[in-house]
Amino acid sequence: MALWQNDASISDDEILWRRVLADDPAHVKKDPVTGEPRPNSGAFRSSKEITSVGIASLTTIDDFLASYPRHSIVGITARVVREAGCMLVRDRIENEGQEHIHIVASRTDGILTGGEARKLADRAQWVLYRIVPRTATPPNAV
Amino acid sequence: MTGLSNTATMSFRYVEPPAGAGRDAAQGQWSEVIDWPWGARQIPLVQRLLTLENLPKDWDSYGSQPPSKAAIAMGFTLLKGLDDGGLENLTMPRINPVSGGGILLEWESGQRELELEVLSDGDVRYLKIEGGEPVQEDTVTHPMFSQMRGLLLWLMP
Repeated sequence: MALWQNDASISDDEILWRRVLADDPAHVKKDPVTGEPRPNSGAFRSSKEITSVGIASLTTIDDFLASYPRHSIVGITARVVREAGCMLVRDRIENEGQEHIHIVASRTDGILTGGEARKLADRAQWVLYRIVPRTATPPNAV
Repeated sequence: MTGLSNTATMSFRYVEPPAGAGRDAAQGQWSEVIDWPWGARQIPLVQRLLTLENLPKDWDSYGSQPPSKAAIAMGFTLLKGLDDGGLENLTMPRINPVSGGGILLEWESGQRELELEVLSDGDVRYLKIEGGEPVQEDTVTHPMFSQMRGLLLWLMP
């Protein structure tokens, strides 16, 4: 029996969200052609963990960023993930009240390779882009 | 702070008097020598590595720890190796943290890009990109700099 099984109930058109820091070079690079900021492979990479994303249709921007006032969001479709050779597996653990999906790579440990992370980053789109200075008071602070 | 040779060491060296020197200079002298293992172009990256070690937990919003000591140590090894013969003309990499306790070193040279992801245990995953497309990737366990050198030479015209 396979360790991971693609969840076919997640439609190819489902949009998946990932939090990124828009002013952090760990997550964002400048597009060499347009000069505009773009998510880089670091936005989807993990050295040790399976990459987790949120399901856009099951949450809101406010809920997804509730604890992260400095973060932005990038989105990819489930189709892009599958075309990159990866699987989508529903996270059974409720995290912050939101259901998450794991992007599981084809390799045994399920962790995305650099090439897979790069393919996802190249096709990701900004859902919310914002720069919030580190010293600023978070907008939702009491 | 990582216990690596990223700090200056001090030693003393006896300097012979120059040939034909007059009597006053003939005694030679002991000279204090400070060995700083980093070249000027590496210093900002050394500082960057030390900064990454102090990232807060959950810096990525997905619960990640900061880069591990093993990853930082391998980062120093890679930076130091860039002084090796034949690599002097290579541009310095961008260095960033990776979720899960790793770091990523990225180079660009024309149509070629090289990404070295140092994992939290110090192993290295490399990715070669040409014309924007991934062309080769693999993991090197217990990497020696000589193995990394071969990858870096691929970047050079």
